Parts: sequence; C-alpha cells; structure tokens
Amino acid sequence: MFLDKLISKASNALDKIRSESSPTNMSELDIRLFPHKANKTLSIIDNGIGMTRYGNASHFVLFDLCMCIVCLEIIVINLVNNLGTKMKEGGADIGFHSAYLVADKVIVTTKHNDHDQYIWESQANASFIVTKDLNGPRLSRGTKITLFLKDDQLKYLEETKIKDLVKKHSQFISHPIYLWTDNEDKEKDSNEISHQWQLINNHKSISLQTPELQEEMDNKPMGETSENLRNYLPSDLAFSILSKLPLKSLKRFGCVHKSWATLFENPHFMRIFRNNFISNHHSYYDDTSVLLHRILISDYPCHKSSTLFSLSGDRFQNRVKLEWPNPLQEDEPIFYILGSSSINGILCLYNYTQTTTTLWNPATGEFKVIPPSLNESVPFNVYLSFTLYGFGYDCVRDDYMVIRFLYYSEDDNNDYYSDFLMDFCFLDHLWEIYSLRSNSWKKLDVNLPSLHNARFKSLYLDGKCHWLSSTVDGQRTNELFLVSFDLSTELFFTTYIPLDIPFDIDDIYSVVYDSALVLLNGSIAIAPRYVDMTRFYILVLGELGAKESWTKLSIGWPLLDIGFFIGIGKKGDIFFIKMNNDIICLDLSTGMIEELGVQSNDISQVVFYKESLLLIGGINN
Amino acid sequence: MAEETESTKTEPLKTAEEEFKKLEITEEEESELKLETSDHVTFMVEASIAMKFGAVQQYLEVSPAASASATAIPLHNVASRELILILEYYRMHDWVDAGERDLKEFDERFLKDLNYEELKELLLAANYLNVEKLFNFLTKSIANIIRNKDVEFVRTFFGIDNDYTPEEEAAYREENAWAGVKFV
Repeated sequence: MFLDKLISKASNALDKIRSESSPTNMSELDIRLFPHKANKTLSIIDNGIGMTRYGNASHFVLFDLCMCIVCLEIIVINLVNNLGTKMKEGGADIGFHSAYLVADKVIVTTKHNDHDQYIWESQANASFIVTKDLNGPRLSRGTKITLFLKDDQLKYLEETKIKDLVKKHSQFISHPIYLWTDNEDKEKDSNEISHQWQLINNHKSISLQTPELQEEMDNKPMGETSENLRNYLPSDLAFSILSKLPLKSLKRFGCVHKSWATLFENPHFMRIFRNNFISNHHSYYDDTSVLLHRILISDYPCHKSSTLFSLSGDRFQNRVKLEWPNPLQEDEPIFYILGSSSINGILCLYNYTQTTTTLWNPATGEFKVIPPSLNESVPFNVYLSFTLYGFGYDCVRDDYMVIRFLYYSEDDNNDYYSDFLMDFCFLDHLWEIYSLRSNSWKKLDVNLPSLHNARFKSLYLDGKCHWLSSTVDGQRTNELFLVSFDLSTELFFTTYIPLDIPFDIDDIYSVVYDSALVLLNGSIAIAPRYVDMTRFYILVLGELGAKESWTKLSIGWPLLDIGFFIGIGKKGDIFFIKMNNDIICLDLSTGMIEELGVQSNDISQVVFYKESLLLIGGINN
Repeated sequence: MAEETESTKTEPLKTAEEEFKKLEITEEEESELKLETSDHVTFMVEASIAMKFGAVQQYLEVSPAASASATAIPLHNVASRELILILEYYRMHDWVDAGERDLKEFDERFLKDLNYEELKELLLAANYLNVEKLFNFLTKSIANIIRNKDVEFVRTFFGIDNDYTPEEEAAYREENAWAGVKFV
C-alpha cells in the first residue's frame, strides 16, 4: 500500500530528528495528511529532519538505501543533496516508488535545518526535475510529499478511506498522524496547528525519547528507571530483531502480538527480513566454492561445448576451468551435473540422454562410471528412457546413491524435451536406486510421484533427495507438491505447495514447468525460471511437510533484459542468462549486477562444490 | 556543563571512569573528542572511534566548532555504563591486530557479561548513537537468544502485552502448529 510506505517514511524522518542533537521541541513532531479535492492532490507532510546525507539513515531505511542503489530515487536524492559520490549514505526510501501506483505526478518538497528548501518533481514516466524552492510556501523543516492522484484513485481523498488506511497499515508509527478534515479550507501551511487537524492513529507516546522521560532519565541515576520502561523495547527496535530470526521463529512469535503476525504482509519489513535471510551465515556454505557449468552451442559449424568453471573473487573475476574426466575417450565429452552440489567432494555427471552416469572427484581426478542395470536390456521394439532424479548420501550406511526413473514405450517419441509426458501410455515404468557400496542398481518398491523433466527441479539436502511433482487430473495439472525421499529409510513424504500463494496464473502445469527447486541460503525454495517483471519472487519453505510454511520473498528489482534463471549461489547471488547470452549475477540484497564475461545459450547451471580427497573406490570396495 | 571535570563526579562513576581507562589499548596521541553522557560523565574519546557514532557525526555537522573546542558533545540517551561498553566494543573491533578468532571470543565474552536488561539498555544506546556495527551485532545476538524460546518468554522479554483473545490465540497456534506454537 502506498500510503503506509509514505507514512512510515515520514515517521522515520521524525525518529531521526529525535536523535539529533539540535534542540527541538519533541512534542511538535508529527505527520499530517492534507487531502485537497479540488486539486485532486494528497499531501503527506512531516516536520522531521528533511532529507540530508543522513536524513533517512534510520536502521530500517539503511537497508533500503543499500537496496535501491540502482533505483531512480537515489539519483534524485543525491542531486537534491549535491552529494554525487556519497551514494551509500544518501538516498530515499523505496516507498516513493509506490506512490506512482496511485498518482501521475509526485512533488517532494524538503527542508533540512542547514539546507535550503528543494523541490523534486517527478512524473511516473521517470523524468524528474530538481529545483531550489525559492517561492513556495516555506516548511520550517521536514518533507512534504504531494501526490497528484490519478482520476480513478480519487478515493484516497475520502476521509474514511484515509483513516482506514492509516489504521490498517501504519499502526507501528510512533508519531501522531493528523488528517485535515475540513475540505473547504484552502489554507495550506503545514506548520500551523489547527483544531481541524484530527488525530487518526492510536499514538502512544511510550518511548524513551519523549521529553518527560528524557528528564526523568536525566534526573535519575542509572538503573532506576521504572519497571515497565525497562522491559519495553520500541517497536522499530523489536522489528530489527525480528527481521533477523529464522522463518520458523518469526512465525511462532506472530502469537506474541497481533501486529507481529501481520509483519508478513508488511513489504517494508519483508524486504529487510529477506536481506537478512539471504545474508545470515549458514554452515552449508562453509568452504564451498561456486562452479559454473555452461553449455555453448553454435549452429555453423554445428558444435556443442560444455565447460566447467570454478568461480571466485568478489566479482567472480577469478575463473578456473576444470578438465572433465573422459571415461569414454571422446573428443570432447559433454556432461551435465546432477543435483545442485557436490557430496563429500563428489559430483554426479550424466550425458544428454541420461543413459550413462559417472561419479567424479575433481580434486583427485578419480571417476567411476555407474554400471547398467538388468532392467536396461529390452527387446528391439521397445524404447527405454531415463530420468535421473537425484544424487545423495545415506549417512546411516555411509553410501552414495543415485535415483532414477525408467520408462518403456513403443516408440521413441519420449524425447527428453517433450513436455507432454502425461499423454503417453507407457508400456511400463519403474524406479531404481544405485548404491555405490554394492555398485549395483536395485528396483525400488515404492511408486514415487514423478515429473517429466527433473532438471532444475531436484536437489539433495540432509540425507534426502527432493523434487517437484504434480498431480494430474485429465490433462490438467492441478496440484503442485514437493517430494522428499529419505535415502536411509527409502520412504518418501510430500509437502504441498499452496496454490493460492504461488503464481497467479491459470495453468499450474506451466508453473511446474517454469519453476526451479533451489537452495536459498540453505533453505529449500522455489524460484521462477523465466523472469517476467511482474512476478518475480521466491517461495521459501519453513518446515518440510508443512504446507503453511511456504513464505513468499519478493525480489523487487527492476529486471530488464533477463532471459532465464540458472541457479542461486551463496548469500542470494542469483545467476541468469541474459537475452544476449551473457551470464550475469544479481546480488539480491543490493540489486547490483555483475557481468561474468561468460556466454551461454543452452542449459547452464550453478553448483556448489566442497573439495574432499575422498576416494570413490574406497567406498566401492 | 561543558566545563564539567572529573572532580564533580560521584564515587561509583569514578570507578566507571577508571574502568574505561583500563580499556585503553593505544598510547598514541591522536585527536580526541569530548563526549558527555546523560549522567553527566565526560569521556575523552579518540576521534577515529567517536566519528563512528552517527549521533556524533550529526552533531558535528550542525556545530562543527565542537570538534576543536573543549565543548562536550552531549549524548542525551546514553549513560556512562553503556558508553563504556560501546567504547570497549569499538576499541576491540578497531584494533588492527585483532584476528577473526579474537573478535569472536571477545564478542562471546562481551555478550556473556550482559544480562537481558543490560542488553536491552545497550541496544537502546546503540540505536540512539546510530552505531551500525554494534546495533547489528546486538539485534543479531538477541535474535539468537529468542529464536528457540516460546511465545511467553518473548512477550516478557519485549515487555509486550498479549492483545489476542484466548480464542484468537488458540486459532493462531492451531494454524501455525508447524512453527512450534501449539499449546502443550
């Protein structure tokens, strides 16, 4: 909602002045809303600090600053402040952007104690003008945001509508919010206290910084503040703490207070939560490096190359090419990597048709081709196809496993890329699991839910292979779920993905098709593979088996010219292939994009690798 | 108040000042700033550290003269007890010779010495001073303390009154059973 962002922005500015050393009468700090029906404008006025280099640097907003370095607003505010180089400290809340949802034009007037008054005027088409304001009505200090509402959004001028919005979205604001309730009055001066300013939020002045308490603090020796004060932490501090919790704890503490339960709907909070979520240290990534596997196909002359790079450095500037093993003595072996990580230093490779699977330890160079199973011998008129589902580790038996699905059909239409598997009648199908210890395949007794193309839709984590699957009703896919297969017990369970949360489109099959199963800083998540600008968010799973625990984290970056997603690296580095085939990495927390200087025009992937000198033959014997 | 000297201090605060002096790890002469806490204790603090405090930076922006003169920069919402801890933290983290492991050990010890109330007071002070690194460290540490605690603990910790009706609370707990809120 646009209003809550703008109000919380105003509130931030007020918090700021509270902590400024310059003498101020604290009781004057407030936020005022001024609807003007004749002009179709809504003004939001705070008498906080105004925008300066540090003007908005409350802790919450700091995160925003980092985030919106690429956004228009930061440029604007830098211009306002004539700062140019001080990118990191300057900047505006991304909340401004939301204003364009309801307004054609936005004018921001800002006045800081030691600055002149500036006006920033902007239209939704992203052009903007900054001028020193010499003629307009003077603000003594603070910021005034005037929205020129779109004709179909005039409801935001209604008194009841505004009150509703404030009540609903701005309850965390610790400053009083007043609404100008006399619409006939043309008086515009924001600083004149009038009886027609009506207080519309439940403002509680329970904060250490109010003057009375300040005095109390000054007069009392330390350690004797009253009991309720000692216990109370202001909500912005509480939210800073909550934003650093794991998903599960945060959901649990929704039970503490109603306002905590609604944090999941607060985009401002969720943005900070997301940034913490992706940057928290996770032991999964200790000592791991990122491998980039890319495939480049050229038509004339027809040639395909498959290259594996180890990436390191802040900007992935260090690229080391790894040499593939060559079990079949080919001129140029083409491999794909199963899963999204090495397991104890071992990668699982396969060829295009998934007929041959090879285990490989890049550190020692040792490799082992997995032998065929008895189920692979078929009569000449029957075609056999394979889908590999996962490579994993059974810690109970200290064994390495590969799971695959075999299906037999009468013709070879079951092309790897065919999307219409459900329409085919199989002659038969079965599940097999390979054990490195026994060096053989075994038929699984369970009938697991399958998925035609498992690429990007499976991963291994903590003793289980996971993949996305869906139920089919006639020709339509109607339920999407996660399958988790426990390698020790050979049992599986499912976690449904609630359809009202994920993607607002009709055909769930295309959701399955367009989604990738990934690890986002150690948590299982679903990311869209084909990015369109309107819906780019990641669903993160809080707890296996709990359908309710999927949580939406928005990406919220202007993503232009992006082809498709190929994987997630450490700390929310998202790798994409652009339309022009360049591979890029988007840092989710800052929005910065790095060009890797590598091209790809086919399925490429990002894999985590942790070096180990484990001997494959040692397990095998 | 700008001319406040050590002689005006009360006895317990003097020990605080001594404690503070013990913490000095550099003998080098460098420019210092005079900071005055809410309980009217003045501290001479290396400019390199004091300038890490957003509140000090802002004060100096408004009145640049304070950096050179003997005028103390007032820190209205920070008591000497908190400032001592904050300086201890920043001196350690500023120390060039401190290795990653030293800092980790220091951080652990620093936390261990604080009870919940002191932790909260320190967070409020860090927030007021606008010291990002310490603020992030404290919020992260508190998050770690509460992450596996139950709802009642967190209500007490934050001093928050339950605004759910018993029915509403039961419904929330039922819906979010996976998160471990189910009544036992």
